[in-house]
Formats: sequence, structure tokens, C-alpha cells
Amino acid sequence: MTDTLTEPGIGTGTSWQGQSVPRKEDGRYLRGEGAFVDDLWMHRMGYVYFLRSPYAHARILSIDVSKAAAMDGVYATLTGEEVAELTDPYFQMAPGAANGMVDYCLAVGKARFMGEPVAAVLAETRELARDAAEAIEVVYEPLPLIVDGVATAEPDAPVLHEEIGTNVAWTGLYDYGDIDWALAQADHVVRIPHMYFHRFSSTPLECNAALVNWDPGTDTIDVKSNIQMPMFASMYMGPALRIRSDRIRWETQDIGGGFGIKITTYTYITAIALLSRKAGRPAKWAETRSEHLMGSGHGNERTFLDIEVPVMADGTILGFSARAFDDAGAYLRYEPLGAVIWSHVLVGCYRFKHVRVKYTETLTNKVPVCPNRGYSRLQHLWMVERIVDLVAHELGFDPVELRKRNYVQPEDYPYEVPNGCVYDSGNLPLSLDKTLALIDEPKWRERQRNAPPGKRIGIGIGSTLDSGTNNFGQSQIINPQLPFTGNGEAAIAKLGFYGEIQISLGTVPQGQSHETTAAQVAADVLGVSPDDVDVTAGFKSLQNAYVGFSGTYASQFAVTGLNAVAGAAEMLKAEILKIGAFALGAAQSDLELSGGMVQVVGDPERAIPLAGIANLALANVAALPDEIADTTSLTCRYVYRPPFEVVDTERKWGNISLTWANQIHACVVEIDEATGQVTILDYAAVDDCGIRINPKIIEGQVHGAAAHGIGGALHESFTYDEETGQLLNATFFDYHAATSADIPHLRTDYVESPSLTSPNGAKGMGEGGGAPLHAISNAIQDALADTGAVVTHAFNPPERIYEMLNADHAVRGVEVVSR
Amino acid sequence: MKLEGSVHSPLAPSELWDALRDPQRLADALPGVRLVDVLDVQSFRAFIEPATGLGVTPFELDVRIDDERAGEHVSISGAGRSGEQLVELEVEIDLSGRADGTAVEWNADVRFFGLLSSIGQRVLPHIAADMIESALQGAAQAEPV
Repeated sequence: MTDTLTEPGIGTGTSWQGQSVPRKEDGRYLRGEGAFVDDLWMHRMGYVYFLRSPYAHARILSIDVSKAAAMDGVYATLTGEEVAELTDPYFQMAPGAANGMVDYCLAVGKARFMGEPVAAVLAETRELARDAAEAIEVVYEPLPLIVDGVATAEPDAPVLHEEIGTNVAWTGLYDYGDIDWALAQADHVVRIPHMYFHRFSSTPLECNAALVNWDPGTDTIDVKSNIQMPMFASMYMGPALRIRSDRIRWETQDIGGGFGIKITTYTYITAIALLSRKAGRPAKWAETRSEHLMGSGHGNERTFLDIEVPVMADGTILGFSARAFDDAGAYLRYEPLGAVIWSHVLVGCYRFKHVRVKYTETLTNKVPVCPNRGYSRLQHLWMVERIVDLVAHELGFDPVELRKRNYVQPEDYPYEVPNGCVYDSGNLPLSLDKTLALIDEPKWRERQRNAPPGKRIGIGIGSTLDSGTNNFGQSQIINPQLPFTGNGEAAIAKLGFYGEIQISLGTVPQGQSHETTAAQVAADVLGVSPDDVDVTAGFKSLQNAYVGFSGTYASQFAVTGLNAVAGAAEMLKAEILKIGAFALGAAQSDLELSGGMVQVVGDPERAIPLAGIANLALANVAALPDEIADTTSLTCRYVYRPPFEVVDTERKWGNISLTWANQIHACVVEIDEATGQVTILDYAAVDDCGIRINPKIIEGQVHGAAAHGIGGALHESFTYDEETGQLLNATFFDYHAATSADIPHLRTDYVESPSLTSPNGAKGMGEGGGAPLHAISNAIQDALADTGAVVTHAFNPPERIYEMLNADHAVRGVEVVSR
Repeated sequence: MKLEGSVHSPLAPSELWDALRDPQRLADALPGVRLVDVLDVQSFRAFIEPATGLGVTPFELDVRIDDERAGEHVSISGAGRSGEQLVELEVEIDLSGRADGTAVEWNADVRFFGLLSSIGQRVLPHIAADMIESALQGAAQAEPV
């Protein structure tokens, strides 16, 4: 399925980092011994089922649970009315009126999207819980609804949240440079009135799940779940449940994918906790695929209006202006962070100096959005890449040369973009050249010219960025009152009784191989093999170290997680050497760690195994001098803190992310004129994520991101009925998540530009899911170049292609004004 | 979903009308439909079990005659529930006398709510149309009383 041009051998070189060490996790997965939430069981456990609103917008006049509650085997029921008594609304990050949004774990008074939970049942079996839920009688009064993310901002639109009084959740102006000057000076202005990025999502193999036990004796809540950012959930759930946040004890182990979608599960976990407390039993919930698609979280849906692009005669693009409407769905459960996170990649891969975006986040009667691979950035990057491509097509520039002219150049790094972000490293022209070489672009240009009748061939490039490691100070651009800045991650390194090295993480891996890469890093510091390092599977808040934003999201593990591991391992090494120096009667500076031994450099006879060090510190401590015994524990916690500063909220200016990996993709498509069917003939991806810790794992993530993006470009789009607000494709029958049958042979290569801001030179990666959307849109545009059609949608199924092929393009989706 | 169709009946309009206005005869004519209760002269409750490729989804459907002109026109509305799934429908039926019987023109607006609207959005239009057509065909072929 792939061509990998470079495959380092295992065991070569002096460092475990940089090698494709086999994944520690694979053994248990291949043996079917992974522990996923739905595999777990507790004594007296019941099963939860959520009754959901069939209406997109309806007042709840009454809920009668009496028939359900009377059924044998039903342990408890829960309604919105009870929730409003037992909990407080979740806190809101939005400023102004939207800060007053009232959001509970179940619908209270009104249902605002089809699939919103309105009641829940805990019962002896899964099936009984479902049957009981169906016996709950809910009387609804349907209300006018709105599913259009732009029209919902109009004053006459039905209001979702009366307490806010508007469907506009946030609005702000991002204005850098002088776009009016640029538009006045430009030789050409390219205008694109409308572009649209659709709703799609992640479809992890494992849907959301949780096993929750509210222990009445200690008043603690044990949550075994697959949530991917538990400490963020604690921030929401503690105050809502009116308990200490440290009474919520999190535990994860194996997780079948997350991609951001598993960040906002806290609403469900809150309801399950309430059911557990009410029934005095552990409560388990495992979401079905349909529930996941219609009630969990979708990626951001964005409409761009009135785009204007000033271009000089030589092809220099000065910037752009646009209005953006981001449809957040019915609630703001991670939003409106998306209203600032896109600006990590304000100018994409380009040296634009003048940018103005008027950004509006709106509410509609649809599933709330939540982070989804490439969160909030892939939409913007798609628009940027689309306008670069349209400039090339409309003004007659070669798309490759135009990109190279406008790319940030290798010598520009560190490169400060107009909003204060500092791109750390890269070589975009080299990455593009490598990508085009992988697909042999001249060969396909020749085939394009000689395409058979009824077929069209197009070649598209997708240049994208994967900003990694959030500066949560960006949240203050949204709401200056929020008490968040910077970021961090924690890790613990321990030496066990017999010299075993153990690492525990603050992160919550969902398939990203943290056990493997953390072991590689620790092994390098401590002079052992990764096989000698045990990394605790998953995250356990009672055992692992953590900070407020611990978790796995925002392409940051390679930076925050692994630098935390390195720091903790260095602390442990220092303690080991201190004890070793005493044991060996040598100076610490004369010692080294190698092969599980502390030894005097150049004198292998003077050595002590790690087990001996552990014995002295843990069981033979009276033998140690006080100054050593009092300062060594062999349990070392380290917090890596990225070098962030407080942002300038007035100017919306600052380094709001730490690293910028880049991915250049190229795609060759064939279009069947009779059907509009798009077939990918060739596909290549070149990834530059700085220093590579484990190339094979990186390649796997490149594959996953490419597949996800290809699905988003050609197969995956949530469709809502405008009249009824019904989600029309809440099953895999109609929502087609890409499978191996849809994914072409992928050619991959890499460029390695060390990060200048991360101590290990690595950059977070794995969210390059946007690149296929750009590349495929641009390839379709290339194939349709002589028709006058303009690709203005990110989702291009056969019917849209057919329409573009057969439409009258007298009025086009683009206009050029030249001086 | 907007549906429409036409049916020809050998019965005269008045005979067809009698058949259409008799819920029991309609129910008897439809496979998978059971008349539960005649609530009053304008309304009745039926239990229907439309089968799709994904299984049977039983519905309890309350049907009401909203407007009628004997032998010419009838407007029917209905609302049903099956667990978490809801259906709402409005049907307009027009009868026109012909030399060989009666021409029946019908149109309907059927709305599904809940997961069924997703699962069934491809197949439900056909099933709903089939059920309406079957009901009309059943009435059209009925023996005059």
C-alpha cells in the first residue's frame, strides 16, 4: 500500500530515537488482548441507554418515565428536570451573551438537535435499557429550526438559546497588515464570493464508552473511559456536579482512535455518573455507531464569503480578506476555541503580509462541533490553498511555480507571520519537489493531454500545516477573562526494586504508540534498550502525573509528552548517578549509564547494576549517607513547559502554537464525464515533522491522515434536511467512512527540518488530514480547467462533479479584476 | 418527503368513496396493517409494520380525516410513534369519475424523525408510497357493499 523511500535499520546508530522500533502495543492488539472500555466489567454493573430527541428543535412539554421505571431490571432513570436540580450548567468559554448559555448533560426544557439526549435509563442489560427508554413518554412541541450556518445569524432566525437571544456565539475581526492598501495596489484582484467547507467527522473504530462508578462511601467517581482529554473534562464536570474535581478519578487504557472527537464526551459521562449515584451501581455505556454519528460531535462546518485576493503581476500574492461563518451546532462544548485556533495557520504556507478575516461563530440545530483531526485549521487551510490554486488558474500561472514563489522559504525560518506566530522550520519547495517526483508529474501531464474521450485527468497539490502544541493563551483572544495561558505536560520516571525502569505519562494515547516512543526516549537517556522500559498503558489520574491540559490532542505528544519523558528520565539519571558515585567511590562526572549498569568510564570492572542502585535507595537506605538518601527517591516527576508568552489580546497577536509541521500532498484524479465519478490514480505525501522519533509510526499516521482526508474530500459529509433538521446519514449505510477499498496506493517520503523551538527537534504531527481535501479539490479544478467550473466546495461527490461538468458557467464562482 | 401517484378503480366514485371511508376495509386490504381502534367518525388508530431491508419497524399511527367532500376529495393526516422514531404525514386524495370507473390522484407529505429518518431515507419514500398505493388499490378493488 505504500512506497517508503527511506527505511532506517533497527539498531543502527547510537540513538534509539530515529529508528523504527517495533511498537510495544502491537503484541496485545494482535493477540486480541487490548483492554477497551466495553471489555470491562464490574460487579452489580448496569447498562445505560440514552433516549434522544427525534426533533431538531422542540420544547419538551413533559417526560413520563413511570412505565420504564416500573420494568423489572430497570435500576434508574434520569431526566433533564432531575439534571437541572442535581447539577449546575457547564461553564462557558465564550464571552458576552453566549457566556450565559445554559448547557446540561441532558436536554432541559428544549431539545436543540436531533439526537440530543433527553432522558437516560440504567438497567440490567443493554437491551432492557433500550426497551425501557422506548417506554418513556415524551411530549414535544416542535419549534421552527435552522440548520444554515450563515442564515442563522440573521435577526429573524429561530433562536436556539433564549437566554442568549441570538444565534451568534462569537464574532471578531482578525486584521493584520493593510489589506485595503494591498487591494488598491494589486495588479489583479481575484474575487471568490462563496466557498464552503462541509461537516464531516472522525469515525474511530471504537465509539465513545465509559464505565462509571460513583462510590457513595468516599463520594468519588471512578471513570474508566476512552475520553482523550480527561483533565479538561474534570474542569467542566467538577463544578457541574458540585464536587471537588479531584474526586473524579480517570482511567484509560486502550482506545480505538480519537482524533479529537473524544474530547467532549464529558456530557455523557456526567449523566452516567448521576445514574450510578442514583442507582448505587456502576454504570456502563457504549455508544453505537449511529449514536456516535448523530449525537457525539462533528467537525467544524465553515462558509467563506466575499474573498478578495490581491495579486501582483509577477504572481506575488499579497494576502486576502474574507468573512467566515463557522457553524458550531447547538452547543459550545469546546467552542468557541475553534474561532481562534484556525489562526495558527493564518497565512498557511505562504508569505502573505495582509490578511483580514471577519470571523463569526454561529449556532444551529445540529450536532455540536468538537475538535476533529486538523481542528478548525484544515477548513482555513483548504480555503487558502484553494485561493492560491484559483489565482494560478485564473491568471495563468503554473500552480507549482506560483506556490514556490509564495511559500515561506527555507532561509526565512524562524518566520514570524503577521499575527505573531513563529513558524519554526521547514523546506516547503523541497517538500513540493519530492512530492511531485513521487507521482512523476511529467508522466501524468502527458497522460492528461492524451486522456481518452469521456475521461479527464487532473493533478492537484495540497500544501498544509499541522500546528502542534497549543498555547492556551489563545483562549484569551476569544475571552480575555479566561484564566488560561501556555501549556505543559508531565511524566514520571521510576526505578523499580530490581532495576526496572517505568515511565508513566500525562497523555492519553488512542493509537499513537506513546508506549513505544516514550520508551525510545527514556532508553536513550538511561542507556538501556526500549525493551527494558515499561511505559504504563493509558492514563490513570491516581497514578500518572498530569497538568491542567494533559491529554492527547493538538499534535503535541512528540513535543510536550516526549520532552516531559526526557526531563523525567534525566532527573532519574541524575539520582542514579548520585547513588552510583557513592557506591563506586567515583565522581559523578566519571560515570555513565550503559546496558543497565552504572559504570566508571573506561573501567568496566567498576560498575553496579541498576538493581543495585534501587536496592540502596529503596531497601538498603541506611547504608546511604543522609545527603544522598534525603535527596533521592528514584521517582521523578517532570513537567515540560513550552516557552510560551501571554498573548496580546487587543491585537490578537502572539505565538499561539509552538511547532508547525508541514505536509505536501499531490494527487492525480480521473473524472468520468458520464457519471462524475472521481478515481484517484496516484497519490503522494511528503511529511516534514522535524526530527523523527519513529519513522514507521510517523508513516502510519501519514497514512491515517491521508485516508481520513480522502474520505472527507470524496465520501464523508453530514447531510441535514433543511425542513426537518433531520440528519440523513447517521449510519455507515449512508455515511461512507473511507475504507481500504477507497484508498489508493500511497507514496510517502519525508523532509526532516528540526524544530527550533522544541528541545528534541521534533514537531507534533498526525493531523495533516487537511492536505487531501486541498489536493483533491485542486486536482478536480485542474481536470475541469477548460469548462469554466470553479471548485468552491470541499466535498465533491460524483453528483457535484456531474453538475459542474454540465452547468452553464456564464456566471462563474470567481471574478478577476485587473489593472 | 413529497410523494404522489395515481390509481384507477373500476368502481364508481361513490362506491370507492365508501370503501375509502371504512377503516376496517382499508386495514383488511393492507398487509401488515391492523386496525386497533376507531376513535370517532373522523379518526382511527392503526398498527402498521412496514418492513425494510433493515427489519420491521412497528408503528402505532393515529389517523384523522381533516377535510372531505364525499366522492371527490379527502385530506388525511396522521402521526405515529415507534419507540424513539416518529412519523407525521398528510395525504390528499382526489377522485374523478370516468366512463370506466374512477381516477384517483394522490399526493402526500411524509416526514420521519429520529434515527429512522437517517436509516430509512433511501428506502422509506418507496415504502411509504407503496403503502399509500396499496391502500388505494385495496379500496379500488373492493367489492361494493
